[in-house]
Amino acid sequence: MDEILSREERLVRALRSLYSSCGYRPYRMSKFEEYDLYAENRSFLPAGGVITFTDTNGRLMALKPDVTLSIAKNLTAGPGGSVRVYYDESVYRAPDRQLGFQEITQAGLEYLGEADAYAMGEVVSLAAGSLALIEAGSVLDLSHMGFINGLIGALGVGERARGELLRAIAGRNAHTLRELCTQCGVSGAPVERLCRAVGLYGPLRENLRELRDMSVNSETERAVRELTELDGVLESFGVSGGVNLDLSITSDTDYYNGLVFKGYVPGAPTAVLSGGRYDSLLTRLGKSGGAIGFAVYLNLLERLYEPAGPEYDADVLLLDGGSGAAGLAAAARRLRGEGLSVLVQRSAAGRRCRRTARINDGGEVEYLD
Amino acid sequence: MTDTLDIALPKGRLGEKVIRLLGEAGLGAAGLSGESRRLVLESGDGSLRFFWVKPADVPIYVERGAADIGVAGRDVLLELGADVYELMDLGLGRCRMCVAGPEGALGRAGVLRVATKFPAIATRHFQGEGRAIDIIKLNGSIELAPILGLSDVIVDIVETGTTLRENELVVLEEILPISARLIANKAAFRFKHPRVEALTAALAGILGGEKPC
Repeated sequence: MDEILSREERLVRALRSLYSSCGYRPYRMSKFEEYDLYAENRSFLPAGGVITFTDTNGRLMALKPDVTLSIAKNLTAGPGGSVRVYYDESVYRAPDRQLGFQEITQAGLEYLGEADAYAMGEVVSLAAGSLALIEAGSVLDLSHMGFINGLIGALGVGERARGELLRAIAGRNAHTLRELCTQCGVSGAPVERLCRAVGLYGPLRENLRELRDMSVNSETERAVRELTELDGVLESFGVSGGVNLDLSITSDTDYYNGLVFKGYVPGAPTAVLSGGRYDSLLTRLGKSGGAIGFAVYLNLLERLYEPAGPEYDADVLLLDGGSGAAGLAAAARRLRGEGLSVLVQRSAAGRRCRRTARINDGGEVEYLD
Repeated sequence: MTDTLDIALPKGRLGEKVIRLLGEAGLGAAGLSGESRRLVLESGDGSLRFFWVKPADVPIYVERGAADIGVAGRDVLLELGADVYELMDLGLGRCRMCVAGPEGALGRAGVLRVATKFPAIATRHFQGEGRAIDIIKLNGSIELAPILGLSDVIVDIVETGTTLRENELVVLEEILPISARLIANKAAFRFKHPRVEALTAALAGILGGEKPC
């Protein structure tokens, strides 16, 4: 049965199984949502336009551009409890007015509730597990917006400069970081500390000491404490070895306010998994508690999953050699009974099968190759 | 993903300078020259593969993973907004992105007509100043636009300023300095990290100066 599933379908099934193993439940949602939700929370949305339309009652609706926002709006964890849901859904965006619309298929999970070290470790380990299911040799890199915000805060620059600094950090762009700081009249140790932090790359555990040394205020200290606790939990989950620290991972939205992470697999040129902690979104929606989740971008795996060899329509192409419909049906049934897929056609035109056969005068299947 | 490090080089003068720099760092390949008609060249040990592409296309090759690293001008990177790591300022091909035009052209009231090859950079610059503009996208001979009345000003790269002077145009504003940058694909940076880091360090050793990220 498995063989008729595409690799992507098998992956989605494996991801569901993985997420279910930690008590996550499936969550289905409508493809449509009132536009107001996105208009009010624009700064939490990734770049790209929202595709809107008017419904039969004249309300302005949107094709869902994001899953997390809907889950955060619709679900609430009870006191002492948690919401643990997973999904595989499409979201729709208009990345550029000249480039039409985009459908992004994604699978992922969200945790709402007290986001303590265990919850964060659980989500990060499930992200690492998701990557392992996609491809061997994957890497999961994480950062902490609290640490980055703390280092930028120590520079004492304005909000506009902060945005430009974050862009330079995301590009590991030390020369532009220094240039921007000079323009803001900042130089010396705080600037070099930020450049050093952005240049760090390697296993989380090996870099924690350096992070501690670079800590400058309560915000960075809290971030280091969280990362240290997380490292311990990840070790217990058996995934700490494959997790790297990379402070160039930042968020271009107001979505993530703490831990952020991205996953890469060999053969894909961009991150195929992205996630993090988004308590500030809950606060914006008038809710309390923590939230953390991630999404796997299935559409980015399409090329990765293209078969290396030729794709066949069926195992056997059974040519209609004049044996009649009943004879063909009997032969096709026999071959299917042997576990082969069979395609019946008058000629081989336009078909690609592993073997070609016909029914000989004796009514037996005779292979022609 | 192969072990070979794929490097996209910009065709033209900048590419020639990059080749010399790579050669000094011991990272060249026999026959690697801008004059060569071969589009793909490998180093003797097969560890490096170079290919020549149009300068404006280098960030796209790198962002999409066709190349692991590349060399691109800051002008092209800012215009395209490519999602790549910008590992080092190579200091090559230094010039300035400027607003230029006839003396006093910026003092014009109303919407400013701006001819440029770099609409994104020009739009960002004038938006930052709160100025209403009408962008006219051209692909070459930008200096001709204000002379013929097609635009009030231009936004373009200025190296020596000779072309501007010969056409009675002046630099009205400097937007930003430009130079060539070493860029890397974000996935390749991870999966080929030691090799990308070694190449970056080798180039930094030749150039001296600031420590890259």
